[in-house]
Amino acid sequence: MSAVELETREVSSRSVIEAPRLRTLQNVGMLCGLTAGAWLGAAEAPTKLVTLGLSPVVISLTMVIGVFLARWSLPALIQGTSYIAADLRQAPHLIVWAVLAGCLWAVANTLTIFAVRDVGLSIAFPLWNSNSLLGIIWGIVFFKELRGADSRRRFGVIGGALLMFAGATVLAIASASQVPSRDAARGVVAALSAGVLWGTMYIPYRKAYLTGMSPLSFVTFFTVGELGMMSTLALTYSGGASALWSQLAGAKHVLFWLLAGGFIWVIGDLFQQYAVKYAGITRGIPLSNTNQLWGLLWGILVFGELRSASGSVLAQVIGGSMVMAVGAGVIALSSVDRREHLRWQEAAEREGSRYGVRAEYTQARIAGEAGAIGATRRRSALDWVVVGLATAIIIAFALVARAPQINIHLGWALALIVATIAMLSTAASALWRATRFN
Amino acid sequence: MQDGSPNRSMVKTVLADLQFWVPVGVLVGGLIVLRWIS
Repeated sequence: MSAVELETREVSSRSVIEAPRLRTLQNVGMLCGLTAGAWLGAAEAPTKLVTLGLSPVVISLTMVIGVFLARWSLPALIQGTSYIAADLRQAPHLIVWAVLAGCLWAVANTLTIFAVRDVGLSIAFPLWNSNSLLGIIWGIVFFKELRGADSRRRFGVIGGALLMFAGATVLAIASASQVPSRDAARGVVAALSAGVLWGTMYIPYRKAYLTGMSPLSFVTFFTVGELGMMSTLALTYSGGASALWSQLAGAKHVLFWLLAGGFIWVIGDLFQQYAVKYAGITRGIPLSNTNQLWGLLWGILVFGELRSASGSVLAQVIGGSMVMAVGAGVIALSSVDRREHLRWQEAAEREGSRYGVRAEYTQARIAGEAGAIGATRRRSALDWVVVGLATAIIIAFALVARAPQINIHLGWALALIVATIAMLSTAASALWRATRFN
Repeated sequence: MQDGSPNRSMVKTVLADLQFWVPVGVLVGGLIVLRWIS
Protein backbone atom coordinates (compact mmCIF):
# COMPACT_ATOMS: atom_id res chain seq x y z
CA MET A 1 0.00 0.00 0.00
CA SER A 2 1.40 3.40 -0.93
CA ALA A 3 2.05 6.18 1.55
CA VAL A 4 -0.76 8.25 0.01
CA GLU A 5 -3.26 5.38 0.36
CA LEU A 6 -2.15 4.80 3.94
CA GLU A 7 -2.63 8.47 4.70
CA THR A 8 -6.07 8.48 3.07
CA ARG A 9 -7.10 5.54 5.28
CA GLU A 10 -5.84 7.33 8.35
CA VAL A 11 -7.72 10.49 7.38
CA SER A 12 -10.96 8.57 6.88
CA SER A 13 -10.63 6.75 10.21
CA ARG A 14 -10.07 9.93 12.23
CA SER A 15 -12.06 13.05 12.83
CA VAL A 16 -10.30 15.44 10.47
CA ILE A 17 -10.00 19.10 11.28
CA GLU A 18 -10.58 21.29 8.21
CA ALA A 19 -7.51 23.12 6.96
CA PRO A 20 -8.81 26.65 7.71
CA ARG A 21 -9.78 25.60 11.26
CA LEU A 22 -6.36 24.01 11.79
CA ARG A 23 -4.68 27.20 10.56
CA THR A 24 -6.76 29.28 12.97
CA LEU A 25 -5.85 27.04 15.92
CA GLN A 26 -2.19 27.15 14.94
CA ASN A 27 -2.17 30.94 14.65
CA VAL A 28 -3.88 31.27 18.02
CA GLY A 29 -1.32 28.89 19.54
CA MET A 30 1.59 30.92 18.13
CA LEU A 31 0.05 34.19 19.33
CA CYS A 32 -0.40 32.68 22.80
CA GLY A 33 3.28 31.64 22.79
CA LEU A 34 4.46 35.17 21.99
CA THR A 35 2.12 36.69 24.59
CA ALA A 36 3.35 34.20 27.16
CA GLY A 37 6.88 35.46 26.48
CA ALA A 38 5.91 39.05 27.27
CA TRP A 39 4.18 38.17 30.55
CA LEU A 40 6.71 35.61 31.75
CA GLY A 41 9.46 38.17 31.11
CA ALA A 42 7.60 40.84 33.08
CA ALA A 43 7.12 38.45 35.99
CA GLU A 44 10.88 38.10 36.48
CA ALA A 45 11.21 41.75 37.48
CA PRO A 46 10.24 41.15 41.15
CA THR A 47 13.17 38.73 41.56
CA LYS A 48 15.28 41.89 41.72
CA LEU A 49 14.23 41.91 45.36
CA VAL A 50 16.80 39.18 46.06
CA THR A 51 19.25 42.06 46.41
CA LEU A 52 17.32 43.11 49.49
CA GLY A 53 18.63 40.05 51.31
CA LEU A 54 15.52 37.86 51.38
CA SER A 55 16.04 34.11 51.42
CA PRO A 56 15.49 32.49 47.98
CA VAL A 57 12.98 30.02 49.41
CA VAL A 58 10.97 32.83 51.03
CA ILE A 59 10.90 34.66 47.70
CA SER A 60 9.86 31.51 45.86
CA LEU A 61 7.21 30.57 48.47
CA THR A 62 5.66 34.03 48.34
CA MET A 63 5.60 33.95 44.54
CA VAL A 64 3.93 30.53 44.69
CA ILE A 65 1.27 31.86 47.07
CA GLY A 66 0.53 34.54 44.46
CA VAL A 67 0.53 31.85 41.79
CA PHE A 68 -1.90 29.73 43.85
CA LEU A 69 -4.29 32.64 44.28
CA ALA A 70 -4.21 33.35 40.55
CA ARG A 71 -4.53 29.72 39.50
CA TRP A 72 -7.79 29.35 41.42
CA SER A 73 -9.32 32.80 41.05
CA LEU A 74 -8.79 33.22 37.27
CA PRO A 75 -10.28 29.82 36.28
CA ALA A 76 -13.16 30.34 38.78
CA LEU A 77 -13.85 33.72 37.22
CA ILE A 78 -13.52 32.60 33.59
CA GLN A 79 -15.20 29.19 33.59
CA GLY A 80 -16.49 28.41 37.09
CA THR A 81 -15.50 25.59 39.46
CA SER A 82 -18.41 23.35 38.39
CA TYR A 83 -17.06 23.38 34.81
CA ILE A 84 -13.56 22.64 36.12
CA ALA A 85 -14.89 19.68 38.13
CA ALA A 86 -16.79 18.33 35.09
CA ASP A 87 -13.66 18.70 32.96
CA LEU A 88 -11.51 16.83 35.49
CA ARG A 89 -14.06 14.00 35.72
CA GLN A 90 -13.43 13.31 32.02
CA ALA A 91 -9.77 12.49 32.70
CA PRO A 92 -9.17 12.18 36.46
CA HIS A 93 -5.71 10.65 35.98
CA LEU A 94 -4.50 14.09 34.88
CA ILE A 95 -4.78 15.25 38.50
CA VAL A 96 -1.72 13.09 39.27
CA TRP A 97 0.14 14.56 36.30
CA ALA A 98 -0.87 18.09 37.24
CA VAL A 99 0.42 17.72 40.81
CA LEU A 100 3.69 16.22 39.51
CA ALA A 101 4.12 19.12 37.06
CA GLY A 102 3.48 21.58 39.88
CA CYS A 103 6.22 19.96 41.98
CA LEU A 104 8.65 20.29 39.05
CA TRP A 105 7.73 23.95 38.66
CA ALA A 106 8.25 24.75 42.34
CA VAL A 107 11.74 23.22 42.47
CA ALA A 108 12.70 24.90 39.17
CA ASN A 109 11.46 28.29 40.33
CA THR A 110 13.45 28.03 43.56
CA LEU A 111 16.56 27.13 41.57
CA THR A 112 16.09 30.20 39.37
CA ILE A 113 16.08 32.46 42.43
CA PHE A 114 19.43 30.97 43.49
CA ALA A 115 20.69 31.37 39.92
CA VAL A 116 19.65 35.04 39.72
CA ARG A 117 21.31 35.68 43.07
CA ASP A 118 24.59 34.00 42.04
CA VAL A 119 25.04 34.93 38.37
CA GLY A 120 22.42 37.61 37.65
CA LEU A 121 19.30 37.61 35.52
CA SER A 122 21.17 38.25 32.26
CA ILE A 123 23.11 34.98 32.46
CA ALA A 124 20.59 32.86 34.30
CA PHE A 125 17.79 33.57 31.79
CA PRO A 126 19.39 32.01 28.68
CA LEU A 127 20.64 29.05 30.67
CA TRP A 128 17.26 28.03 32.04
CA ASN A 129 15.62 28.85 28.73
CA SER A 130 17.51 25.89 27.25
CA ASN A 131 14.36 24.10 28.45
CA SER A 132 12.86 24.60 24.99
CA LEU A 133 15.47 22.33 23.39
CA LEU A 134 14.68 19.58 25.90
CA GLY A 135 10.95 20.22 25.41
CA ILE A 136 11.37 19.73 21.65
CA ILE A 137 13.10 16.39 22.26
CA TRP A 138 10.27 15.20 24.54
CA GLY A 139 7.70 16.44 22.00
CA ILE A 140 9.31 14.40 19.20
CA VAL A 141 10.05 11.29 21.28
CA PHE A 142 6.81 10.97 23.27
CA PHE A 143 4.11 12.87 21.38
CA LYS A 144 4.84 12.43 17.67
CA GLU A 145 5.46 16.14 17.13
CA LEU A 146 7.25 16.97 13.85
CA ARG A 147 6.38 13.43 12.59
CA GLY A 148 4.89 13.68 9.15
CA ALA A 149 6.01 17.31 8.89
CA ASP A 150 7.79 18.31 5.69
CA SER A 151 11.50 19.09 5.81
CA ARG A 152 10.90 22.87 5.67
CA ARG A 153 8.90 22.74 8.88
CA ARG A 154 11.33 20.38 10.63
CA PHE A 155 14.22 22.61 9.65
CA GLY A 156 12.25 25.69 10.70
CA VAL A 157 11.46 24.39 14.20
CA ILE A 158 14.81 22.80 15.01
CA GLY A 159 16.82 25.52 13.26
CA GLY A 160 14.76 28.24 14.91
CA ALA A 161 15.23 26.69 18.36
CA LEU A 162 18.97 26.40 17.78
CA LEU A 163 19.09 30.03 16.62
CA MET A 164 17.27 31.07 19.78
CA PHE A 165 19.70 29.07 21.89
CA ALA A 166 22.68 30.60 20.04
CA GLY A 167 21.26 34.09 20.57
CA ALA A 168 20.72 33.31 24.24
CA THR A 169 24.30 32.11 24.58
CA VAL A 170 25.63 35.32 23.00
CA LEU A 171 23.57 37.28 25.51
CA ALA A 172 25.02 35.21 28.34
CA ILE A 173 28.59 35.77 27.16
CA ALA A 174 27.92 39.48 26.72
CA SER A 175 26.59 39.75 30.25
CA ALA A 176 29.24 37.54 31.86
CA SER A 177 31.63 40.42 32.43
CA GLN A 178 28.97 42.19 34.49
CA VAL A 179 28.85 39.78 37.42
CA PRO A 180 31.32 38.61 40.05
CA SER A 181 32.50 35.04 39.43
CA ARG A 182 32.56 34.00 43.12
CA ASP A 183 29.43 31.86 42.97
CA ALA A 184 29.26 31.50 39.20
CA ALA A 185 29.51 27.68 39.04
CA ARG A 186 26.73 27.22 41.59
CA GLY A 187 24.52 29.73 39.79
CA VAL A 188 25.12 28.12 36.39
CA VAL A 189 24.27 24.65 37.73
CA ALA A 190 21.11 26.05 39.35
CA ALA A 191 20.00 27.72 36.11
CA LEU A 192 20.71 24.67 33.94
CA SER A 193 18.90 22.38 36.40
CA ALA A 194 15.90 24.70 36.33
CA GLY A 195 15.95 24.40 32.53
CA VAL A 196 15.91 20.58 32.73
CA LEU A 197 13.03 20.63 35.25
CA TRP A 198 10.97 23.06 33.18
CA GLY A 199 11.76 21.26 29.92
CA THR A 200 10.50 18.01 31.47
CA MET A 201 7.43 19.71 32.93
CA TYR A 202 6.12 19.94 29.36
CA ILE A 203 5.55 16.16 29.36
CA PRO A 204 2.59 16.46 31.78
CA TYR A 205 1.42 19.60 29.94
CA ARG A 206 1.34 17.83 26.60
CA LYS A 207 -0.29 14.71 28.02
CA ALA A 208 -3.07 16.85 29.46
CA TYR A 209 -3.69 18.84 26.31
CA LEU A 210 -3.53 15.92 23.90
CA THR A 211 -6.17 14.27 26.08
CA GLY A 212 -8.27 17.41 25.78
CA MET A 213 -8.12 19.05 29.19
CA SER A 214 -8.69 22.80 29.30
CA PRO A 215 -5.60 24.62 30.60
CA LEU A 216 -7.87 26.53 32.98
CA SER A 217 -8.86 23.21 34.57
CA PHE A 218 -5.38 21.64 34.58
CA VAL A 219 -3.74 24.54 36.43
CA THR A 220 -6.04 24.25 39.46
CA PHE A 221 -4.38 20.97 40.49
CA PHE A 222 -1.02 21.92 39.05
CA THR A 223 -0.89 24.63 41.69
CA VAL A 224 -1.67 22.17 44.49
CA GLY A 225 1.64 20.47 43.59
CA GLU A 226 3.37 23.86 43.41
CA LEU A 227 2.18 25.05 46.81
CA GLY A 228 2.67 21.66 48.50
CA MET A 229 6.22 21.24 47.22
CA MET A 230 7.16 24.86 47.86
CA SER A 231 5.80 24.82 51.42
CA THR A 232 7.81 21.65 52.12
CA LEU A 233 10.98 23.21 50.68
CA ALA A 234 10.45 26.46 52.59
CA LEU A 235 9.89 24.64 55.91
CA THR A 236 12.93 22.42 55.31
CA TYR A 237 15.38 25.13 54.22
CA SER A 238 14.19 27.84 56.62
CA GLY A 239 14.67 25.75 59.75
CA GLY A 240 11.03 25.05 60.64
CA ALA A 241 7.67 26.76 60.81
CA SER A 242 8.51 29.44 63.39
CA ALA A 243 11.73 30.45 61.61
CA LEU A 244 9.85 30.63 58.30
CA TRP A 245 7.07 32.67 59.88
CA SER A 246 9.51 35.16 61.35
CA GLN A 247 11.21 35.55 57.94
CA LEU A 248 7.83 36.13 56.28
CA ALA A 249 6.77 38.58 59.00
CA GLY A 250 10.06 40.45 58.68
CA ALA A 251 9.56 40.77 54.93
CA LYS A 252 5.87 41.73 55.02
CA HIS A 253 6.50 45.10 53.39
CA VAL A 254 7.79 43.52 50.18
CA LEU A 255 5.67 40.35 50.03
CA PHE A 256 3.03 42.08 47.89
CA TRP A 257 5.53 42.61 45.05
CA LEU A 258 6.39 38.93 45.03
CA LEU A 259 2.72 37.94 45.12
CA ALA A 260 2.17 40.29 42.20
CA GLY A 261 5.13 38.67 40.38
CA GLY A 262 3.52 35.25 40.89
CA PHE A 263 0.19 36.55 39.63
CA ILE A 264 1.76 38.04 36.49
CA TRP A 265 3.67 34.81 35.93
CA VAL A 266 0.40 32.83 35.95
CA ILE A 267 -1.05 34.97 33.19
CA GLY A 268 2.04 34.25 31.09
CA ASP A 269 1.94 30.58 31.99
CA LEU A 270 -1.73 30.26 31.03
CA PHE A 271 -0.90 31.54 27.56
CA GLN A 272 2.08 29.18 27.47
CA GLN A 273 -0.24 26.27 28.25
CA TYR A 274 -2.61 27.28 25.45
CA ALA A 275 0.42 27.57 23.16
CA VAL A 276 1.45 24.00 24.05
CA LYS A 277 -2.12 22.83 23.47
CA TYR A 278 -2.66 24.40 20.05
CA ALA A 279 0.86 24.81 18.64
CA GLY A 280 2.54 21.87 20.43
CA ILE A 281 5.66 21.85 22.60
CA THR A 282 7.93 22.23 19.58
CA ARG A 283 6.45 25.62 18.60
CA GLY A 284 4.78 26.89 21.76
CA ILE A 285 7.71 26.65 24.14
CA PRO A 286 10.42 28.29 21.98
CA LEU A 287 8.00 31.15 21.29
CA SER A 288 7.20 31.62 24.97
CA ASN A 289 10.94 31.66 25.60
CA THR A 290 11.03 35.08 23.97
CA ASN A 291 10.52 36.01 27.63
CA GLN A 292 14.30 36.39 27.68
CA LEU A 293 14.02 39.35 25.31
CA TRP A 294 11.33 40.88 27.50
CA GLY A 295 13.38 40.18 30.62
CA LEU A 296 16.32 41.91 28.99
CA LEU A 297 14.16 44.91 28.08
CA TRP A 298 12.97 45.17 31.68
CA GLY A 299 16.53 44.74 32.97
CA ILE A 300 18.13 47.33 30.69
CA LEU A 301 15.36 49.90 30.28
CA VAL A 302 13.64 49.81 33.66
CA PHE A 303 16.31 48.63 36.11
CA GLY A 304 19.34 50.18 34.38
CA GLU A 305 21.26 46.90 33.95
CA LEU A 306 24.37 46.98 31.72
CA ARG A 307 24.61 50.73 32.32
CA SER A 308 28.39 50.52 32.62
CA ALA A 309 28.77 48.03 29.76
CA SER A 310 31.18 48.77 26.91
CA GLY A 311 30.07 49.35 23.33
CA SER A 312 31.12 45.85 22.27
CA VAL A 313 29.11 44.25 25.07
CA LEU A 314 26.05 46.26 24.04
CA ALA A 315 26.61 45.22 20.43
CA GLN A 316 26.66 41.59 21.54
CA VAL A 317 23.45 42.09 23.50
CA ILE A 318 21.72 43.64 20.50
CA GLY A 319 23.08 40.97 18.14
CA GLY A 320 22.10 38.10 20.45
CA SER A 321 18.63 39.52 20.87
CA MET A 322 18.18 39.86 17.11
CA VAL A 323 19.29 36.26 16.53
CA MET A 324 16.78 35.11 19.14
CA ALA A 325 14.02 37.15 17.51
CA VAL A 326 14.85 35.69 14.08
CA GLY A 327 14.75 32.16 15.59
CA ALA A 328 11.31 32.85 17.07
CA GLY A 329 10.13 34.22 13.71
CA VAL A 330 11.33 31.11 11.86
CA ILE A 331 9.47 28.86 14.32
CA ALA A 332 6.32 30.96 14.03
CA LEU A 333 6.39 30.39 10.25
CA SER A 334 6.68 26.61 10.67
CA SER A 335 3.13 25.83 11.74
CA VAL A 336 1.70 22.32 11.88
CA ASP A 337 0.17 20.92 8.68
CA ARG A 338 -2.58 18.30 8.46
CA ARG A 339 -0.21 15.36 8.11
CA GLU A 340 1.63 16.27 11.29
CA HIS A 341 -1.65 17.00 13.03
CA LEU A 342 -2.79 13.46 12.22
CA ARG A 343 0.26 12.21 14.14
CA TRP A 344 -0.79 14.36 17.07
CA GLN A 345 -4.21 12.74 16.91
CA GLU A 346 -2.54 9.31 16.95
CA ALA A 347 -0.73 10.28 20.15
CA ALA A 348 -4.00 11.63 21.57
CA GLU A 349 -5.81 8.37 20.78
CA ARG A 350 -3.03 6.43 22.48
CA GLU A 351 -3.41 8.56 25.61
CA GLY A 352 -7.19 8.24 25.53
CA SER A 353 -7.19 4.46 25.20
CA ARG A 354 -4.47 4.02 27.87
CA TYR A 355 -6.44 5.98 30.45
CA GLY A 356 -9.99 5.20 29.31
CA VAL A 357 -10.95 8.72 28.21
CA ARG A 358 -13.97 9.14 25.88
CA ALA A 359 -12.83 9.51 22.28
CA GLU A 360 -15.51 12.17 21.58
CA TYR A 361 -14.12 14.35 24.37
CA THR A 362 -10.54 14.09 23.12
CA GLN A 363 -11.53 14.71 19.50
CA ALA A 364 -13.68 17.74 20.35
CA ARG A 365 -11.04 19.32 22.57
CA ILE A 366 -8.15 18.85 20.15
CA ALA A 367 -10.27 20.84 17.68
CA GLY A 368 -10.76 23.61 20.26
CA GLU A 369 -14.40 22.75 20.92
CA ALA A 370 -16.14 22.22 24.27
CA GLY A 371 -17.39 18.65 23.79
CA ALA A 372 -20.28 17.31 25.90
CA ILE A 373 -19.07 17.21 29.52
CA GLY A 374 -22.40 17.78 31.26
CA ALA A 375 -21.62 21.30 32.49
CA THR A 376 -21.70 24.84 31.21
CA ARG A 377 -19.62 27.84 32.11
CA ARG A 378 -21.37 29.78 34.88
CA ARG A 379 -20.31 31.38 38.13
CA SER A 380 -21.77 30.01 41.36
CA ALA A 381 -21.59 31.49 44.85
CA LEU A 382 -18.50 29.34 45.48
CA ASP A 383 -16.71 30.95 42.51
CA TRP A 384 -17.38 34.44 43.83
CA VAL A 385 -16.13 33.38 47.27
CA VAL A 386 -12.87 32.11 45.68
CA VAL A 387 -12.42 35.31 43.66
CA GLY A 388 -13.34 37.50 46.65
CA LEU A 389 -10.93 35.72 49.00
CA ALA A 390 -8.03 35.93 46.54
CA THR A 391 -8.72 39.63 45.95
CA ALA A 392 -8.96 40.33 49.69
CA ILE A 393 -5.63 38.59 50.40
CA ILE A 394 -3.86 40.55 47.66
CA ILE A 395 -5.37 43.85 48.87
CA ALA A 396 -4.31 43.04 52.46
CA PHE A 397 -0.70 42.55 51.35
CA ALA A 398 -0.88 45.69 49.17
CA LEU A 399 -1.97 47.78 52.17
CA VAL A 400 1.20 46.95 54.12
CA ALA A 401 3.49 47.10 51.07
CA ARG A 402 6.26 49.61 50.63
CA ALA A 403 7.91 50.43 47.33
CA PRO A 404 11.22 48.52 47.07
CA GLN A 405 14.30 50.76 47.34
CA ILE A 406 15.38 50.15 43.75
CA ASN A 407 15.84 52.88 41.17
CA ILE A 408 13.58 52.29 38.21
CA HIS A 409 12.81 54.24 35.03
CA LEU A 410 9.07 54.81 35.36
CA GLY A 411 8.52 55.91 31.75
CA TRP A 412 9.99 52.71 30.33
CA ALA A 413 8.10 50.63 32.89
CA LEU A 414 4.82 52.21 31.76
CA ALA A 415 5.67 51.65 28.10
CA LEU A 416 6.39 47.95 28.72
CA ILE A 417 3.23 47.55 30.80
CA VAL A 418 1.13 49.04 27.98
CA ALA A 419 2.79 46.71 25.44
CA THR A 420 2.20 43.58 27.53
CA ILE A 421 -1.43 44.50 28.21
CA ALA A 422 -1.98 45.11 24.48
CA MET A 423 -0.60 41.64 23.72
CA LEU A 424 -2.84 40.13 26.40
CA SER A 425 -5.96 41.76 24.93
CA THR A 426 -5.13 40.62 21.40
CA ALA A 427 -4.31 37.02 22.35
CA ALA A 428 -7.20 36.59 24.79
CA SER A 429 -9.66 37.91 22.24
CA ALA A 430 -8.33 35.58 19.50
CA LEU A 431 -8.34 32.62 21.89
CA TRP A 432 -11.91 33.31 22.98
CA ARG A 433 -13.15 33.67 19.40
CA ALA A 434 -11.42 30.47 18.24
CA THR A 435 -11.79 28.14 21.24
CA ARG A 436 -13.91 29.77 23.98
CA PHE A 437 -10.86 29.11 26.20
CA ASN A 438 -11.19 25.33 25.79
CA MET B 1 -10.60 2.12 35.04
CA GLN B 2 -13.57 -0.04 34.25
CA ASP B 3 -13.25 -2.35 37.27
CA GLY B 4 -14.74 -1.85 40.72
CA SER B 5 -11.90 0.28 42.14
CA PRO B 6 -11.40 3.13 39.69
CA ASN B 7 -8.93 5.12 41.82
CA ARG B 8 -6.64 2.16 42.41
CA SER B 9 -6.81 1.17 38.79
CA MET B 10 -6.06 4.75 37.73
CA VAL B 11 -2.98 4.93 39.96
CA LYS B 12 -1.79 1.57 38.62
CA THR B 13 -2.19 2.83 35.04
CA VAL B 14 -0.23 5.99 35.82
CA LEU B 15 2.56 4.01 37.50
CA ALA B 16 2.72 1.62 34.54
CA ASP B 17 3.17 4.57 32.16
CA LEU B 18 6.88 4.82 31.33
CA GLN B 19 6.52 8.55 30.67
CA PHE B 20 5.55 9.07 34.32
CA TRP B 21 8.99 8.05 35.56
CA VAL B 22 10.86 10.60 33.42
CA PRO B 23 9.51 13.66 35.31
CA VAL B 24 9.75 11.78 38.62
CA GLY B 25 13.46 11.09 38.01
CA VAL B 26 14.08 14.70 36.97
CA LEU B 27 12.26 15.96 40.08
CA VAL B 28 14.45 13.84 42.36
CA GLY B 29 17.55 15.13 40.54
CA GLY B 30 16.35 18.72 40.95
CA LEU B 31 15.85 18.23 44.69
CA ILE B 32 19.40 16.85 44.99
CA VAL B 33 20.83 19.89 43.14
CA LEU B 34 18.79 22.22 45.33
CA ARG B 35 20.16 20.60 48.47
CA TRP B 36 23.70 20.99 47.12
CA ILE B 37 23.45 24.67 46.20
CA SER B 38 21.57 25.78 49.28
